[in-house]
Amino acid sequence: MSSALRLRDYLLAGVTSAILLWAGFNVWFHFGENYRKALHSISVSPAHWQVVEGNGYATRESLTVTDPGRFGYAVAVGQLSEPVSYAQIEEIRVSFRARVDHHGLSLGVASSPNLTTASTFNVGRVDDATASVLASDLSPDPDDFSFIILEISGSSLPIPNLTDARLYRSRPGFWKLQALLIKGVVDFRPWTQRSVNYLESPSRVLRVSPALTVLVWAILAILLLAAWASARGLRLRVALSTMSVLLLGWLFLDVAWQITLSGRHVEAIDQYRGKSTLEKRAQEIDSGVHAFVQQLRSVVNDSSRPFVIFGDSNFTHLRARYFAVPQPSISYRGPPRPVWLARLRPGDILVALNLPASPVSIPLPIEDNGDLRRTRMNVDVSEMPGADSSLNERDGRPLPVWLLESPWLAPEPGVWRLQVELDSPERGGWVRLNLLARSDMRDDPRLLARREFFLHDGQSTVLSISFALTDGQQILFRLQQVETGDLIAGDAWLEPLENDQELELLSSNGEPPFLIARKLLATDVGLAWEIL
Amino acid sequence: MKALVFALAALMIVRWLGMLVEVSLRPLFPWDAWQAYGLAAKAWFYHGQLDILANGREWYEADGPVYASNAIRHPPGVGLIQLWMAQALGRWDDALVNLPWAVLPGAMAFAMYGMFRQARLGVVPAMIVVWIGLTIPFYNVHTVLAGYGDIWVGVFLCVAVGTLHFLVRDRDMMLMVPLLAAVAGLLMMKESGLFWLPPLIAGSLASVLAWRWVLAAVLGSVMLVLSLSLLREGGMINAVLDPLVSGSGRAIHPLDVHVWKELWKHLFLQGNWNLLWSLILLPALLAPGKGVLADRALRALTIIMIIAFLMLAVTFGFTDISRNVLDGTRVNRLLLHIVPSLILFGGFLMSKVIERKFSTCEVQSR
Repeated sequence: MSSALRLRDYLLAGVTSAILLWAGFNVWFHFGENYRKALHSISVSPAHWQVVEGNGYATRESLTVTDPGRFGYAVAVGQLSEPVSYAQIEEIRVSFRARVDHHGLSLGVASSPNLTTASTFNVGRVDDATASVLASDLSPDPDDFSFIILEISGSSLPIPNLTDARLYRSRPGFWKLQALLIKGVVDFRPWTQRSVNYLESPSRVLRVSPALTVLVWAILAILLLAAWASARGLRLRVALSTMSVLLLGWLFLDVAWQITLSGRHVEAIDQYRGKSTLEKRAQEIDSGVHAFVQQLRSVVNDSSRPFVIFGDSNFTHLRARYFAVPQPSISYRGPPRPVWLARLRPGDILVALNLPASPVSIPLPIEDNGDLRRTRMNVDVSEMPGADSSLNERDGRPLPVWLLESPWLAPEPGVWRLQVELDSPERGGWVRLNLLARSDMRDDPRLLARREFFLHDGQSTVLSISFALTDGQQILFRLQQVETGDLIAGDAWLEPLENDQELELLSSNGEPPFLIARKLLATDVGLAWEIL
Repeated sequence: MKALVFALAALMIVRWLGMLVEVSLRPLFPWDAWQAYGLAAKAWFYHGQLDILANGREWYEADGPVYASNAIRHPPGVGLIQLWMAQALGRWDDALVNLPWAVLPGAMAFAMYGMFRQARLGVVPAMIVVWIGLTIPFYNVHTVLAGYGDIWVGVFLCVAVGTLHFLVRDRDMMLMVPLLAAVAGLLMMKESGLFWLPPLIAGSLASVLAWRWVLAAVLGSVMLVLSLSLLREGGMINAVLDPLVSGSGRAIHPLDVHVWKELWKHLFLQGNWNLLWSLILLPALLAPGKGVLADRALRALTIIMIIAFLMLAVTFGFTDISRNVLDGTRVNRLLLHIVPSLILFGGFLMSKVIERKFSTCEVQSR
């Protein structure tokens, strides 16, 4: 019995202590200026100040006014982090690094930065370096303000730096204090849950506030503890009471969670019930990306064609990559770099999503369409410099050498495709085909197009690169081994391509090297080209 | 008591049905699920072969169709589960490929309940513990976040721990089959499954070796890991020492209290775990130490839990993962792996406590 009484006594002592603490705090709060210690003042960092009349600058430590304005009069404005109600504030106080009693000071508030609704008043001195104004001396219109105004005038002496500005809250009445206490203990604002796709989706508001649930649980737990107080056996009683309180808490929090979860289930049912996969995707935040990829797939109509996707964010390009399957694909964030463009193969589909500035496409600089007159042009590689060269190594690293370099060739203007047979009887590796052009024999050669290709061990292939040639231009190509390998170049030839209206020059920044590409799709979401 | 059992069953069924509906309707949406596992499964489904994933460089070097995928660094388990569903359906359905995630909580509930009853825990306490396990908010979230592997790691680890308990208790070698299957499942789901092997091995050793050998094995392993870390640039030791010595700030050292404060918030203040971390302390406090350690099966599990949580503490506080604790991206997911096992352990402890209580009562009544 005595142990039962002891537990009840503990409970009573706990409740009594809580009441005494609450009462003591209320008395202490209302005594003298203690409320200023209990209620946080609002500080405006010097970094958030700006001199609007005269000259000066703000740092994290202080605001410096270097020159007063036209009439020896300076005005500085400090911005609050959020609007404050006039009724909440009792006093505004500013502190300077040194005495300011040679200057005339006014302090005030404004709701907008253009100070049209400003209200100021001459300050009272707290000490030599601190000045203040009472909120009751101001009459702001409207009631909320977001800016503090400091006006300085009246002396040719340098103005000391402002180091601190602070708004002291007004003393709340009894009931307002109780409301503040409850709000301090229980956060009644909406609680949110972070979305898993937090890069793209906003947080979700929980339907039942956990704070409210905990409050109800705490009240019931006290009642439950009181009920267990009469049970026999101290250890059992402690165990049972603790466990029952925790299980009760679990149940309450779980019910709150169930409500949130059920809400989400209902949303899912409303949103997706009876819909196909395509219809479901049409409702998602990335429906534009999905629609674009689906449209592109139907335009391409060949699920073996690789997609190389560039998007403005990780979310965009990775989502597009997922939607693109069964197309083979790779994707990147940001605009394409020249090295990636060089590795695109004929037939690859280049996709740019939400990237208006890059890649840059330019209309072909060829007007006529006399392609039919042009015929295949063979290039004899056997006499070319470097035809029998092999890749050198220095310190174990390969030196890029020309595997093959053609003489200057002068095909007719138009769109051409250069093809070079390549064979790697033993060891393959990366090769690079550079195409250089000049308009005149005196011109320096300029890189026109580039392609990089990987050759597997024992593989034979035809490496090709497309380019557009204008009137009078000559070209030269260089085949270069990038990695050690054992490559043999075979025949090379130029093949005319039909110049249709869809062809464009494509590069990462509008400068060579260019790819020849056919535009397949252009929507608000993105662009797609087929590489030739 | 019957009413309580039915009420708990009803609560669990309501929770499970809701999740089943949502998983079967909502298209695959969690980040890693679609950008790694889901993409791999979809590619496997359409091409009928597994070796078609590549990293960036391999993608350009490949001859046939390949898919650049972040899944190449993960084991294939999650993708294979989705592939299994897609093959059963005969098409790729973004929502229905995730059905196993909805079934998993039910499976875990039955498995846990069965193991508790095997451990001679009463129907009511067994139902209460299963209810707790099934209604943990973070566990529910990961069920609905169908497509992630963490929940599978947790369930496989739980089955491995439970099977080990009964293997040690009953000496039935047939239990090696589910134990090895669970370990294989654990390693198939995520690379972090490997993280849980050392505690499992230590627990197994604790059940057959004397205490001094267990201690020697644990200390030896710790020394080995530390030595290897010292040899490897950027290893764990460097991660700890570097900021202290050079102040480079590459990793966060344990003196940074923010990590522990954040961990405290995740465990006790936020809604992720309901009151699990408060509740789990109770059987631990009530469990008579000697009684638990004298029981070889419980001793094995105690060692597993101690080592697992020590490893987690080191990971959270002493390695780069501490950054993920601060930004909240990789703290609860790692805990999710061990939580089902922890609940199972809690249930077994309760069973032991109740068993001892009743045996004491019987002795007194005689």
